[in-house]
Amino acid sequence: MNLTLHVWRQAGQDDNGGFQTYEAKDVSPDMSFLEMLDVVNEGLEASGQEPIAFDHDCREGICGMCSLQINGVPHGPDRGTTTCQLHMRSFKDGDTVVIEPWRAGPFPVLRDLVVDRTALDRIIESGGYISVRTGAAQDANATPVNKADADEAFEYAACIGCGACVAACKNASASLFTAAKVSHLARLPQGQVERYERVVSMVAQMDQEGFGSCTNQYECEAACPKEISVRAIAQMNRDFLVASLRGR
Amino acid sequence: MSSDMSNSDRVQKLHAGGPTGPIEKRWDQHRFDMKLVNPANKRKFDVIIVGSGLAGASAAATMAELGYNVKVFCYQDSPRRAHSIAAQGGINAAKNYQNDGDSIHRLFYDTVKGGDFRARESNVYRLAQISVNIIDQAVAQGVPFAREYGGLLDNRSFGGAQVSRTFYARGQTGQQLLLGAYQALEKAIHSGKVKMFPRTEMLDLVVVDGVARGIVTRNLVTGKVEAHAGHAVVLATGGYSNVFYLSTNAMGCNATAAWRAYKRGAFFANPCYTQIHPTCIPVKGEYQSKLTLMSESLRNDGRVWVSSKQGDTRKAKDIPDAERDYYLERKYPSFGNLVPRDVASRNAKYVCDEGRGVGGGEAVYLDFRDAIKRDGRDVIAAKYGNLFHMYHKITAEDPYEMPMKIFPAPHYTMGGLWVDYNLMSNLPGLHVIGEANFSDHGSNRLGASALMQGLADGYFVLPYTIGHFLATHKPETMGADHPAFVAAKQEVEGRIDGIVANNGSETVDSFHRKLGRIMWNHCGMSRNAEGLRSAIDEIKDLRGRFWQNVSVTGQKGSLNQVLERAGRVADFLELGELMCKDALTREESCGGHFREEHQTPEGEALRDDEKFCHAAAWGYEGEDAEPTRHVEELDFEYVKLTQRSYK
Amino acid sequence: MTTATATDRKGPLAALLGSTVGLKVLMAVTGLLWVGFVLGHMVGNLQIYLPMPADGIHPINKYAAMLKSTGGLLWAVRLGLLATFAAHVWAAIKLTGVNGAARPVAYREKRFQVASFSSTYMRVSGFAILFFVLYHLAHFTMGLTNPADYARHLDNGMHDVYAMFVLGFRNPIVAVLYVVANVLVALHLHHAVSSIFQTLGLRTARYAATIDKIGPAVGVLVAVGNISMPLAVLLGLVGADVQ
Repeated sequence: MNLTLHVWRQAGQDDNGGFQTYEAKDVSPDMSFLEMLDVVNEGLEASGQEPIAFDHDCREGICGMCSLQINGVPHGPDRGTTTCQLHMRSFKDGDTVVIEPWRAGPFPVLRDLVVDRTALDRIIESGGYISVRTGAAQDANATPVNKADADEAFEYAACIGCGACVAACKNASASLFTAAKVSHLARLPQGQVERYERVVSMVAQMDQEGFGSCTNQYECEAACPKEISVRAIAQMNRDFLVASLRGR
Repeated sequence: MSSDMSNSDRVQKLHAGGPTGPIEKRWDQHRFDMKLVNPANKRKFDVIIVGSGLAGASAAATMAELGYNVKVFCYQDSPRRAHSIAAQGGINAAKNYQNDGDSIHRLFYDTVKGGDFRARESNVYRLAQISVNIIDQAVAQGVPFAREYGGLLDNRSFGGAQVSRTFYARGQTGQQLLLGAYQALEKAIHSGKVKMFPRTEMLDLVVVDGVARGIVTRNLVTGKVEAHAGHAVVLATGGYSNVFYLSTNAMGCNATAAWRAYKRGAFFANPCYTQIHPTCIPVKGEYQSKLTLMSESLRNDGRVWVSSKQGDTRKAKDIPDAERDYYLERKYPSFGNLVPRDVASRNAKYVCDEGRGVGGGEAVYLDFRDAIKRDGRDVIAAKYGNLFHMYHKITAEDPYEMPMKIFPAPHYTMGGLWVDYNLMSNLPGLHVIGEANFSDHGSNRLGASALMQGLADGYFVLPYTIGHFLATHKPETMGADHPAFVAAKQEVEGRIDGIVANNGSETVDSFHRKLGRIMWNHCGMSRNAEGLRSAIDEIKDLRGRFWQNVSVTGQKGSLNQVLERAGRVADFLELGELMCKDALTREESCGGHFREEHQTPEGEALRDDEKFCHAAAWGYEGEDAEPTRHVEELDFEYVKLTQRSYK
Repeated sequence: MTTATATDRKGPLAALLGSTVGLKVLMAVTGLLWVGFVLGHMVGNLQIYLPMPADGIHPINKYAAMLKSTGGLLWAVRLGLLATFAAHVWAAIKLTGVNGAARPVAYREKRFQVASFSSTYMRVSGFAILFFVLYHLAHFTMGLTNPADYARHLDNGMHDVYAMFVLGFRNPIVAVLYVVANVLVALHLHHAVSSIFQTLGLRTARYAATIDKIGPAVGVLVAVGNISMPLAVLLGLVGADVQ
């Protein structure tokens, strides 16, 4: 099949950027979306033009490096799917595809479709961990964990830090990202000691980075390639409220 | 092949420098014997760590806790994205929580045997001992391992073992363990003891007076080339499976850091030991950019089969049981589908070579029909749901309804930079951990052992042993303005200019694909002398063409993904040749290295312990000179050298 | 980069209001009070449907007199409502600023996947409600728009709210305005009420499905109840006896 691509091109952080149109020819439905872009890029490279820069790495939906707003939706039209796992069989011959970088103040565009997501690392840095010195741990089975809690913690811990939640939110809120880590650790006995300090620090950092607020539209949940539930945000809100009232 | 002969005067007998005595006491004794750096002095030492996967992140976090100043570099935009994240199946530990007869000694034994007796006994024993601490550490960090209803940790079995010792977090164990290490790293960054350099690639090692003292890097966003000096350098840069172009590694995984270190004098050990993983999704088309692994854990419940007829084009469900050949169960009744990876891969190749692959092509079935019938769809979904989902996404086929199609693919490299018992290379100061070193898996890695080794090195070995280096060598503080750094930086800049200047007509990827095909055909699942010789010639030709006709667009002073790839492919074009040389010189079959000339009548790998019970560590001798093949003899005191049998 | 830490100890209120989550909590709490008020107000007004008793004093007039008789309490409630309304609007404006800054460059193409219609128009419905409330106060509470209706009293001196109510809605423009305004109120509540639970952290796995139905249910309830009254007047089903 053949597609028309409208792709955001921007030479660097200080460049204004704009859309360019490309034709993707002889696209196989078995290709991944990124492989389709690879083919377009090889064509550009072979003719001495600079290829479209985009972030990607593992190409199996787990590293969280790939991004792209595809026809208005982060990671494209398939639910629970990263761009690298999106296949061209989700498109039709003759389709027009608009490809944009993720837009958020805290995610400046570095080049073309590549954005800087280090703000998410700084949120984790502010408290998204359990403080345990290497070697200081007790036996792993010393504290049994209720299976339902462990499973729920896992659901939240499955976050790949791609930022699709931010990209999807009309307020560019990082609530789902932040809450996923807060809730993962809040569900486990190991996470209780720092539970309230953690939520206060992480929410403060999230705000400081310039992300917007949550307006409970749940677009983040719909865009999340790991389908993390917005229940995480409820948990974060509750813990934050408790922490604030306790003066933590 | 006489490359080693021509440099015979330069050949070194390498020694691991490990302790002797009873194997179960060695690590304890060694820890006592090593010198310590007192807490107040640790803050005077700067450690450079390249790579932020399980090994790099865990080492950085731990060393920061100890008080060292650490700089961590990764090419990804965040340390959380290192390819450890993609490990699916699990992590081994000799906890014996299942009470099924596991022990440290059994894990040690299984690993040495699984590696086909080409690993260092002392290292493997230490690894097995430490394995239990890793699980404790991870659980304390909040890693949500799978649990039983009683709240205790669950285990499953993995290839090459007859006990259930694998801890797992659904099919995302690597992700969860890496996030644990990443969080510890972020905490250390917060404390100010670690400075993180994401989107930064190491392009050279700086050696001053024979001691590794720093690195040269390129900022992938601005293109700025910088030198960083430290008191020790740690490479945790992963493996080189991407030399095959199509592999299960991430697109960015590369050998540049290790290769640059090699060219600065570090020995590259056993480069031909590559692991071709048996359960990957088969190749679909020319455009394909990578291969996707389906966790080996699937072999716990999935049964591997092909038709007993050649060129059978019937659909799987139309092939009656009587005409299915469950070849692993038939040939290896005691291990069945759980034979080690090298054995499973080789047998998949055999049946496909016989024309019995799916539709006569290159794929075999991995079938869950019987497991679903036995346990129900829900139980199977709970264990493998995300893997089935991923398979469905990629292939548009539902594995609940029809068997998966799988085929082997390059996955892991047991070879890597040579290190001693302290994980230090032959260059003092240069430490190598995780997949980037060569030490613990011999010629074949067992499933769920990579995560174990990466974290063992990072959390529990290197943080002690690096102290010994610092305490004994007492390296002086040195700035990045030292002439050696200035010179190395200039060299790197010259090299970058050389790459950017290429504006030929062939793309970087086209060269990479060609290299991959040469490597897969001649240095893949099975190798022979003739093929390896021709591969060496082909690679030399390809390398020549690369430098004449590669197209590198864009500038050096900005984000330029073509330039990044070109530099990596240029190094793969050199490494591929060394792999072939190593494979050619090792006139035996062992683990993942299968020389067709050396096999048992049943087609199993036939070792030559007389001549090759050693690790081969290659030393660089210059651009046009043959490398030297140094040797470390391997002694087996605790595990008897036998022909491996999984029957 | 500077990082807030848990050691930055502030008072609980300052800590709350210094964050987007806290501002949302403020909006949820003040919103909740207003939901209660809107429902109570509606129930009170629905007394309009009660038949005229033998003494000729309509129950809604007695109800209004009762409210007035509470004196200080009424004013306390009024001031409370005013304060919570102001706080709600203040937080909304503040968050709107934060949210706008969080996406300085808009997408060329943005597709919503699950967001409800009501949730995408909260600002529009909210500001429309603000102006409606001002008008409503001017109309019925202060008697600025229809002074003659407002001035009507019963023989016993009681304020004739019943007549004021009926006369007001006999004007089709006023009736339609109230209908439109209450559709907007309903739209606002459609998203807001379930949202309160999420923001206060009460939307747990077990109750999420139920909670998600509460907002739309309250919205429909308010719409039906409040819209029925002007329509009933307009259709002559209520207040035919008022001259």
